[in-house]
Amino acid sequence: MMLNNRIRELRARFRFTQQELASKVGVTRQTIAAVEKGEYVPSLLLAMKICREFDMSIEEVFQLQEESE
Amino acid sequence: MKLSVIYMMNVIVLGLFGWAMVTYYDAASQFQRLMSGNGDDVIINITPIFITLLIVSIIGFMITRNKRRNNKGWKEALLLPSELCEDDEREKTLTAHACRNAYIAMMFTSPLLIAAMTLQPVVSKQFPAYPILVLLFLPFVQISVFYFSLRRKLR
Repeated sequence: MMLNNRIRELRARFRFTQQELASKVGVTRQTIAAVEKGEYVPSLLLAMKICREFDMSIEEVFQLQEESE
Repeated sequence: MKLSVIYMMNVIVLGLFGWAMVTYYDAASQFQRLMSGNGDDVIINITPIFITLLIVSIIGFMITRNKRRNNKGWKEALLLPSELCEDDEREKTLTAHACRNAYIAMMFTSPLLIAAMTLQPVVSKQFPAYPILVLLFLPFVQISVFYFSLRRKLR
């Protein structure tokens, strides 16, 4: 199972830099970069904070993807 | 502060501390000979202790100033190791992973070091401070495993 997300796309649409989004949700810029690349799966709290900044639901930002065999 | 710099500082401090303790051990051996009536005086070489105190003070000052600039409290700046200063949940996860690896390393290293201590009667004639070297190896392994675990995750 993998967790995909649309953070990079949404950030571009809302014209947020990684640093700006990181400051809004209270993490470091490196954490936002790691989440965007799929290297780090955020906690539910962080995921909800990110979704709140984009005014979207969890399902609209994060999608669960089955890994292909 | 960069992780590699912190690691190098830790290794240097550990090495200097070991050097200073070897000097103390030597002085304690001389004192023991004096007490048993086989020695005349006790000579302590203060150079390693002086150099250790000097370098530890400089490194301590640099690290504390750096942490205070990053808005850390005095307690955290003075007492918490720099590599454990986490700014968010991802860094806490990375630290937890590195601590786990350091713990596993300790479980493997400790029995080996205890076994190495059994060589002390043989080695002590050539190198009296052998137990200090063996004991210092444990923190060295833990610091190294912690650093390399973090570095691998941060790449």
